[in-house]
Amino acid sequence: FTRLLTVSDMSNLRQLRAIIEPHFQRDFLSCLPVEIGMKILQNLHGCDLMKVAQVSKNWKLMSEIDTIWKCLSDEDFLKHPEPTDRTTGAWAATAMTAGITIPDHVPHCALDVQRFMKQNKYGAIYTRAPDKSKYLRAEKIERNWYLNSIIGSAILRGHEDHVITCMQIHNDLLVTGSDDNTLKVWNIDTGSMKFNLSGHTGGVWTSQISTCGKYIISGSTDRTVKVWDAVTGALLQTLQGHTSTVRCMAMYGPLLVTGSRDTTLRIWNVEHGTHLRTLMGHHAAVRCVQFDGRIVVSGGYDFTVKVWDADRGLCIRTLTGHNNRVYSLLFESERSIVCSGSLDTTIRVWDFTRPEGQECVSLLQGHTSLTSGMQLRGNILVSCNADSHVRVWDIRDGACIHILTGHRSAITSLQWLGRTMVTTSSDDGTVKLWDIERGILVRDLITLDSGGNGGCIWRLCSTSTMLACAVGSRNNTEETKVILLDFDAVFP
Amino acid sequence: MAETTAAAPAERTIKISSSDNEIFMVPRNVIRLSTTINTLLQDLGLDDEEVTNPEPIPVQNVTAPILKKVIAWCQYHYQDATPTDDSDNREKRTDDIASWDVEFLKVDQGTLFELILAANYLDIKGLLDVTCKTVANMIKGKSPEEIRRTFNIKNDFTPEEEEQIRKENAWCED
Repeated sequence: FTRLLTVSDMSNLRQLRAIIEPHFQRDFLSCLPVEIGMKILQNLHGCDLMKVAQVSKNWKLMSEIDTIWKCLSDEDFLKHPEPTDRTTGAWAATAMTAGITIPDHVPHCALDVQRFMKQNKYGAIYTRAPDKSKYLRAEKIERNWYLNSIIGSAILRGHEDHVITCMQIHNDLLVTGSDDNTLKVWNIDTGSMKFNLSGHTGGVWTSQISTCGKYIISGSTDRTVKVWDAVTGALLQTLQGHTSTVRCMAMYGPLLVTGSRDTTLRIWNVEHGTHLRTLMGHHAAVRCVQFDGRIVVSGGYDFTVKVWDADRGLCIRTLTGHNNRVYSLLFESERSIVCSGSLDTTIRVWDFTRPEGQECVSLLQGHTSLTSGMQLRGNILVSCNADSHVRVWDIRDGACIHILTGHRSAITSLQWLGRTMVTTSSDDGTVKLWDIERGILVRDLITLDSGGNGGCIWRLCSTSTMLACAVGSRNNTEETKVILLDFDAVFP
Repeated sequence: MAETTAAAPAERTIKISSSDNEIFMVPRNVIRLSTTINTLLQDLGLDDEEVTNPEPIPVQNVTAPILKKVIAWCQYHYQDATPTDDSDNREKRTDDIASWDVEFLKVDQGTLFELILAANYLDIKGLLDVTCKTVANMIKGKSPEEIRRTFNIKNDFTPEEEEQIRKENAWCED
């Protein structure tokens, strides 16, 4: 054999190689036991698995085994509402009108193609390999947020030139509350108004939708709390007792806790319309409240955060340390962690199970104004501030991991989406999308021409496939409205 | 590594034979990595004896050249920390193959194939993991045609099927 090689010229050698080489090659996936083939494929990412599917019939079968796709990601990543149309009502038009720029929106002429593609909600892959389809859809939705063209948008007009003070989403319902004394209930997917809830005699400053979706609750400067039927729009209860503006509320099941400028909190049963307890102890207005069904945490203009036992109606701990008003709160029940944002510019992280006086676990310093929103996952806290910056913190040591700069005015709210995305709204009239892992601006989602001139984004609310932005101004430069952006995808 | 273990006279050795009847003497501690042989030794009570087993343990399905490689791998890795259970759940990484293993697995596909079967049969988790990752690395980043060429696979789709499957799987490119 060695002689054969020495006497062969280059072209013969090449021929030989072409004959011999295939003998060394192996179709690993077809020849190995299925479980080993799966073990090989489990090392691959989605994109490579898509290539694998195109190699041969055998490889396609192997690549579409459910467990391979199931273990590609965690369940949260795959959790999305069913695909929607979002082509009717306000969605029929788009939010791209004079004064509103949505930089990455598909042009009007391409809308029909987008709409056509939404029609078949469950494609061929779904029938054959549902877990692959679910994974691909989730990836697509994530890319829709990050970089794809925005495929649909809508404007919900209402509340005239008044301020939208609060906004919530529950499944397909969007509720907006305003200082025009009303709340409006919208169907998101049909882009239409469902109810106008009128009855308050003062501005609405806080609202909630119950977890069961049956009730809408509102608190007003008229000192009352109203309970509305989310299905019929009827007024069910008017809860009286507070002696000044109801400014904040939190719910657990049928239990409602309201905080008021009258310095008290009240606990109610929404289903029965009964007042259960009054929590007295704050020395100034109560500005923010959180509730896990057992523990109430409240923040006030008296610079304190109070922890209450809801059953007994007693204050079990007063967390002192802030030296100005407390405006925002976050409460994680499992770890007894409370984060409070104050006008003193700091955020304090507390563990109220620690001995008295030592509850403050860490002090987050760096913002220069009021913290308007916070979200916590694990030990990572994201905060947005009136100083126009977003900060990403590690609450264990209070270290600031990222400072996200780009907004030119106060940030009004934030939403943590998917794995590493955060969207923010600002008084500069923009909505921005950030990647908090890399600490970078991903893109501007909305820009108002009136930004910097009075046009504001007051707040954000979102589902995993849709973003709602409350828009307006206090000087009549921008009509009050809600802009919806669609990031949905069908199952391929 | 082989020299140091051979130089330790107190080390108990196990006799195993390949499918083509070649005998290998392997330190007890080294062959511990094979759950199959480990269990066998325990079940047969051979661990109680202070002597080498007189009859070699037959390792069917594995030829001498492959068994030799498998033993070489075990000899390098037998002192590694045992992987924890949650190592299966962590993020997929195929770029974490140790450089020794990368060199060790620079073999033709036939050998790699036999190694996977041997690792599976002998139930050597670490070796099975790293060989599977190596195959995955040969797939990564390649187009379907490149994958076919790499593994000498015949495209058995009809042109219509191919077009259909291409369209479906273009999902990640848009």
